[in-house]
Amino acid sequence: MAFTNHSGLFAAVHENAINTTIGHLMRQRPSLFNYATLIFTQALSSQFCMPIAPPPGGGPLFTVEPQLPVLGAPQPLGLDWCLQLSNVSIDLHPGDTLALPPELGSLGPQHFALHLQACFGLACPDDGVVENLAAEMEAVVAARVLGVAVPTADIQPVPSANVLCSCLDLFGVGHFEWGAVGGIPGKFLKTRLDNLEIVDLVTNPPSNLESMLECYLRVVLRLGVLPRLIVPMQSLVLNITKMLQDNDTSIGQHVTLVLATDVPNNPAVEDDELKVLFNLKVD
Amino acid sequence: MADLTIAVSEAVCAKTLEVVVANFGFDVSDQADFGAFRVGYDGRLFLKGGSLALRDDGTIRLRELDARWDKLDFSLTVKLPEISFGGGLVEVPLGSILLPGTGIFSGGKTLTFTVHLAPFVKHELSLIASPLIQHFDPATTAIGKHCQGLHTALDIDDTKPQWRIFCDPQTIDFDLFDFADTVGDLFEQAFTDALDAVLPRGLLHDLILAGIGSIADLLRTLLDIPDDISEWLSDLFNVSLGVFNLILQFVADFFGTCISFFQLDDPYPMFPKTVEKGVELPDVTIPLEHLTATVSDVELVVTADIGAVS
Repeated sequence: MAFTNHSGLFAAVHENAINTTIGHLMRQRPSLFNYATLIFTQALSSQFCMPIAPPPGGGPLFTVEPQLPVLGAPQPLGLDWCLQLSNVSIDLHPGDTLALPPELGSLGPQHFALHLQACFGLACPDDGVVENLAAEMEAVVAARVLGVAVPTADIQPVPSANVLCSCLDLFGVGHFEWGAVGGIPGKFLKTRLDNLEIVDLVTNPPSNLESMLECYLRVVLRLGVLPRLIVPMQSLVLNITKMLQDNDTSIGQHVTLVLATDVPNNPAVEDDELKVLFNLKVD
Repeated sequence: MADLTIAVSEAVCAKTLEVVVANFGFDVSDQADFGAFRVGYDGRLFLKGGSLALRDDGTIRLRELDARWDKLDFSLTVKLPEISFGGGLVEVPLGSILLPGTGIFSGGKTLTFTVHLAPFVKHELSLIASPLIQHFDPATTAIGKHCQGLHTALDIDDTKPQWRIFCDPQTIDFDLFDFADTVGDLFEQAFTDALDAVLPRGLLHDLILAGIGSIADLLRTLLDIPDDISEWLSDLFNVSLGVFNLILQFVADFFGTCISFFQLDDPYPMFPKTVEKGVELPDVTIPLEHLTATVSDVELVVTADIGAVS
């Protein structure tokens, strides 16, 4: 059977290509997958939960983030931390790459699964450091009680040489669908999250902690991340005329590649591939 | 199964040719001064017709693509030298008379002849070609001396690895002057002019005109027979016939492995460099492997794999 039986142009990306591309992205842009406070460039550079290989083309190892505030401290104090995402991979239907946790069942037709490992590290100060800082905090409080002016200070890091790490495996299942967006004309391609599972966070004794975290992540993804990923159909139209104009070639016709609409699924998630079908339109 | 697959149907290929034909236009003009005379030309080339078919032997066939001239004017300008006649002392019975002389073309006069060649110069191209893919590695891929010169002239960068896709011609049939169409057009134009001169416009005029068109088409068909046989034989034996076509074949073979019509950097810059929080992040590149292009009678399929993370 020909690839172009149902359209003029067919494009497919195998899940291996997606996962290898993610691997290249993680290798060459580690700062997209690793977040940490500035101290991790110096004293804590060997304390990451997972070592980060320097990217071959240069560039930062991680994105610098502010310290985690110590709530209630009379003077601003911050704890150092790191968050690292790894083992990011996609499995397109039929699911044969990822072993999904039983809670998610098997991967349905036109669905995809996502897996990633998230490791959070907290630079935990030892008791001596905390005691010294406690004395400073008491001094600040005492000064304020006695009406002595205390100058405001920047966030003071709480020194630590020990990073405690905890890693979680996260699985999600989703699909693509076309639909309207309230009141806006035209169709939009939406990425839908069907289910999400954190593997073995707490098993004994039974606790709601895992469910609470999953609930939070699900809400964050559905309300915070996925709405940003909607794609209007018109932006999936490849304007050949404009591409030629950008290359100093103008033509008198309007030539576009538009998504084929007379197929049941476009894009289609099947045969371990993400397939997109286009038709050539000349006006 | 390949990592990446792109397939283009024969209909899209044919439509693409139609777009190219409809939008192609090429203006040429130049002149040269040779002292006593000056020559120049001014023309505009456009394309017409042609059909494209994918074939199950892995080749693409372009048939009878016409190149016509909207305008093709050749001019010859001659600078006329000043010529003097008569003048001087003439003896008469009673003495002599000094007659005044006269001159023509004084003041640097010029004479320009312009020949409108557009109706007489028509070209037609047919070819069979297949995509040829080469992985260019500056360290190991040899480039011939002449090809190297051409690359330098065209600013082709030979310093980085690339996948290069060439159009590898199997056979080429190029009519420098499309004799059949030229004669057919002349025939049709001559009869139309004659008819316009003797008959007022009306039903009879139009009927005769339609007849002339049919005769001209028949004439075109008859005259094109040898050309079609040549194309058929050329295809059959996989060798272009005719001395001119043989030269063209050599040239095409040279370009078929020297000038690629499409190239991809390897590794390919998938995500461009960017600045995040004031920090410059370099390109993210992916190595491309096993690039292939295959042609069947229904579609052109290009596949590639993405190399592993090192």
